[in-house]
Amino acid sequence: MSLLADPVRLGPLVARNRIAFPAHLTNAAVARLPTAQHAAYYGARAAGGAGLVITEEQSVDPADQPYEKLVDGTDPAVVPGYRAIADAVHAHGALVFAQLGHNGGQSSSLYSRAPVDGADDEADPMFREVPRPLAEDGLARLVAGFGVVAGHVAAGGLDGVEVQCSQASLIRQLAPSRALPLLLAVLAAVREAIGPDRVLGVRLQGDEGVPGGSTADDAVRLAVAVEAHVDYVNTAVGVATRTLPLIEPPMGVPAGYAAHVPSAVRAAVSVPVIGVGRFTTPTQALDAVRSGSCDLVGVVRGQIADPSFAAKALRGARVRRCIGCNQECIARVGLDQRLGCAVNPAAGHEAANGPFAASTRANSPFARVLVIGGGPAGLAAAVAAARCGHAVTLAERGDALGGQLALAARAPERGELVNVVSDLAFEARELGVEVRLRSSIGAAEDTEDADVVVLATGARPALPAWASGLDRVVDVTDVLAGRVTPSGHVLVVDAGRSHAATSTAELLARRGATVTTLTSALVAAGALAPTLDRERWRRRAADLGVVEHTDRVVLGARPGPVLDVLDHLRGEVAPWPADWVVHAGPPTPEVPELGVPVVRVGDCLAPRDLGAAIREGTAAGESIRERSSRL
Amino acid sequence: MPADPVVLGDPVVLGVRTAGSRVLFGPHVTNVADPRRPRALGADHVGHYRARAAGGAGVVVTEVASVVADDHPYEYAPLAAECADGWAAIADACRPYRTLVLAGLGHTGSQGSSAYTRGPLRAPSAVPDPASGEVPAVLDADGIAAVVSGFARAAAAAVEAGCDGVEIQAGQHALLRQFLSGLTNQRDDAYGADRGLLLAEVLGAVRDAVGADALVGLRLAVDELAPWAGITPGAARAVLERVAGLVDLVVPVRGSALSVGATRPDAHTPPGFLRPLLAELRVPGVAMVLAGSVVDAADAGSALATGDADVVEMTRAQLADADLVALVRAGDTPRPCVLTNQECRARDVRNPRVSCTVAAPEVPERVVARRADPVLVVGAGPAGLEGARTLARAGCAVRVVERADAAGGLLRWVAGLPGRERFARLVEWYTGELSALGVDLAFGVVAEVPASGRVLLATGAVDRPGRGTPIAAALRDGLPPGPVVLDDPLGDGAAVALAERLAGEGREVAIVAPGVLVGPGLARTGDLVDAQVRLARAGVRRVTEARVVGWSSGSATVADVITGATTSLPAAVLVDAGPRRAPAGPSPRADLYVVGDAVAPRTVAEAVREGRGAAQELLS
Repeated sequence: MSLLADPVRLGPLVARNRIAFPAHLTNAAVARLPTAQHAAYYGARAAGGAGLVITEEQSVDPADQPYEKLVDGTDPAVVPGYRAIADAVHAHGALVFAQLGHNGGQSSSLYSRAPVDGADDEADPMFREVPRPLAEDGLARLVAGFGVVAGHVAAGGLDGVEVQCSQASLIRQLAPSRALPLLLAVLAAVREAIGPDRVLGVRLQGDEGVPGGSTADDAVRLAVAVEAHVDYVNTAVGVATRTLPLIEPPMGVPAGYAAHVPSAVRAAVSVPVIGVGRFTTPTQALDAVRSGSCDLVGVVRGQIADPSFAAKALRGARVRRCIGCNQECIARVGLDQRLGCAVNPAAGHEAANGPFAASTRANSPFARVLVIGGGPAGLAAAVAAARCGHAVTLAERGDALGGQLALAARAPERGELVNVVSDLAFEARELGVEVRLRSSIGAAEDTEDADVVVLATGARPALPAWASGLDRVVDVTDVLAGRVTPSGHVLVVDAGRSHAATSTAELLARRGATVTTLTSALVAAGALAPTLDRERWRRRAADLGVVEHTDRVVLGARPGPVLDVLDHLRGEVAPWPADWVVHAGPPTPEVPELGVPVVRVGDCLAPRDLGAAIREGTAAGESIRERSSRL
Repeated sequence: MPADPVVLGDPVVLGVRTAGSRVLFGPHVTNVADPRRPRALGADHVGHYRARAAGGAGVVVTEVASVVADDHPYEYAPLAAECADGWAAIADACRPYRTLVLAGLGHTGSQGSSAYTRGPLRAPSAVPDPASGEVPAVLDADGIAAVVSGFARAAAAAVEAGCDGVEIQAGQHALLRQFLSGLTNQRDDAYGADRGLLLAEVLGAVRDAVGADALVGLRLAVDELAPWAGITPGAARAVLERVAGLVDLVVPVRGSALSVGATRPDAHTPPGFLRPLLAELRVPGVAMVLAGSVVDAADAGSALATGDADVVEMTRAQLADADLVALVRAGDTPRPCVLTNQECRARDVRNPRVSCTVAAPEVPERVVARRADPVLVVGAGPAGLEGARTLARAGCAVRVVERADAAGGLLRWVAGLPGRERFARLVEWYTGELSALGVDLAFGVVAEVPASGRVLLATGAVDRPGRGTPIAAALRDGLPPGPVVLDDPLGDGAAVALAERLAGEGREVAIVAPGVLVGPGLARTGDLVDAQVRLARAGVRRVTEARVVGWSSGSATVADVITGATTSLPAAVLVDAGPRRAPAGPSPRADLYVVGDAVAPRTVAEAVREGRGAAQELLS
């Protein structure tokens, strides 16, 4: 990993290694100001070895507010927050730059209650609001705003500024003939404000992913035109309000999918170039640099999932991998909620808990902990308890770890889910957890040797009442586990909010079945939208001929099987015959009565998602403080 | 001689207290908290409630506070444990106006959110909420005891802080309703055998906590619109009889988790829809409150005069005009609520602050210094009308010129759409106000914008050249016969309403939208699901994740936005429901302000806000 460990000069300063933590939304701002959470969050990645941290965007105009928690960099009150971020990152030897930007027409008046200033009067496809086209005096005001915020960045002691012209940017929205002069004016204003001793970079859009949109050639042209004025060039693909899955690709998209952009830019300019693109392992990051596609590699989600990604990458250690589930980083942020991480429950809570919560609690009294159930909740509980110094036994009824997650990972495009199981199992082994497979805990005496019992027994599939007694009506888990092989015309009933139905539909369609899905919801596969999986699913469904129906409620079923289906919009009931019916619905908590006090975590408390399982398991493991909670 | 009928400005005795009027300002999500104290009631709450008290509200129920910390339904949801100072400030602010302040107290159960607590939702049974799909954890005995004591502790704190009492939530978004309902309570313990048990325990504990000197109100779902398992009026009547000795007033509401939009519906539901149920629900000794889209003083007065109700809840009407009671007492007409729900429904993931389509609360109406120089207002749509009224009320001479032969601008045509009829009342109200203020309105006049002098330019937007008939032209002029395709990239509801009207006329209609649903803008209003039902039942074809890419010889070509696959739809007429654009016009100058759609075509809310704001600038 020596290439990643090489320092790299960025204008006046040197980054200690090649791993950057690029800008991304966190929703950690309060009242449009940076917070202690920002400082702790970035500080944790610096502590974890990152060479360069770039903050989330700081807006250069108070009226620019497409989302609630965007920092208004023009407010002088940001300076103490910037100072705290600088101190937190510098304490661990990394550089930290602030990203500055203006969202232009990719915004709304919901918060500002003022007209949206755009490059033209075309409504953005996400915000659907017609902007007021900015005239030249407006552009001059914008340039001044960049200068003001850059002054705050310098006053706060940050090491540099990155000017965003990529995912959500007025500069990107402008026609090239207006964009370049504006960008040059902005760069001059920023340089004026930060002086020669700080770094000035620019992030350029290299592939908007829309017909007629910008391409890598456009990024190259702009990079060459501004090269003399910047210390580095960062790159990006995708438009935040139009082609978001390109920016934050979900599970199934290969590492390096965006490498064509930094490669093209790096071939044309002499300043260092940052590349991004779903690098989730140290090896992928190394390959990106080694292949010559970039000088620094941007790893966002990989460092959210494992704050020590960089340090581990440099010493060749194994990381807890990002799986691209997007459940907590992308989906939550899209809903105006604080960023989190399904596999790293500490992410987004660094200020409250400290970045390495578990290690700070390692002095709690030793206890003998029995964790029942080897799914993600049980594994997370075992790892967290062991990290706190407890003696942990993990008892799994089946002959493999992973629970429902291992099953879900069998579906097409969902294979990376199993990385969570293997990473947690690896950590458990390293920490000396005793894992007992095929170990059934059914009574109080089975727990006699434990001071604390954590119940992580998950949930069991639950078919609806209408399915009882019918042949060829099965649960999705029956299909994924290979207990049945539906063929012919298969109706998949999506009665849950997960990937279960789409995963199974795809698996069966790929095996040659004719698959029709139905859901009572207004939108088919709606659960896949917040994590940005839905668009890729729609393409695959179209290729496989999967037909999706919405607004359908199953009222009953008869042998055949034939479903009686209500179209609840129209109020009409019709028979739907099929060769097989596969049901995907919420399971029922599995709660064995052991007769001893237990801590319930994950699906056995309430069936939810992966993030809840790992979060509750981790919290249970970390909260064991007494030698015995069996009082 | 019979006594004069009760009117809404009359005082009313509630328990041991007297409210200055019979109008209640009900609990609603505001999102006006200080983000630094997200679960407290802050200064903006105080201002919000003080304005209604000053305007004559008899009872104010504050934004519902969660009684236990693990209920955190939206980011700025108040938490009772953090509300004491806020309740005290609100009570102090409202007391001078003889307004009673009741603290709204609740727990949202399975209709909450796990986004902020990161823990499971808690509910009577493991029934997933239809909106979130999240399976809750089942409340155990300890959890139930914590809920009961949480209500009691919060009620005691509210009264201690100076509130006149509390209102306990068993209506929409309420754990107590979820316990009452067979839809959500499938327990096999005492709380399942007797679904009213928890409510009775909570009310008993609350009454014990606050004593006889404070008011206990109950907001109760009396019809879940799901008779197969949900609460019915008959069942609600039995609940009310059981708890009558514990409560002073009851606010019947309707709707369940399956029908959230039915609780405060938009204008597609006729106002006053709960009035026919009140007689069946009335129990002795409990004041009866009529709620549910009561927005017109005449309707409210009628319900009071007949004795159907003792009090009327007019929440949205008082968002539209905080001075509603005072104006009615004076014989004036309040600014009318248009029941579009575009700005007042604040329970939205983006945390919008509560607002109002017609009131533009972001620009407070204030008395400003008179300036003698006259102002020319060009355009009599909502922006121009609001600007003219603001100017005239300050004593400024105003002349309004309008190209068309009547006031209202685009609203004249929008008011012809189903569910948007009440915009006609807004235009009528403005013209009445301007007439009373002696403002000169000249119709059929195309004004030359003078090179000098003070001007408010509110000329609205113009159609954008494109494919097919612009929607504004379609509304104004009608359409030639034949099948219609509406291309709706904005999804703000206008195209949906036009499609409904055209289908009602017997046309073959399709609506093409780029998103996963048609009319996504209706999500904010609560009408999104109902709109899909109406369109489906009217036979309107909804083509989603698609855009119109061609139109010729009677058919439109439509492409899937993800796969690119194309289909064709019969289309003798293509309506372009995309945005209009601002006209080319004079540049703003020190004494010329451009407002509303003439800046960028948006909604009535922006028109009113900018019309008023620019008028105030001209007066300063």
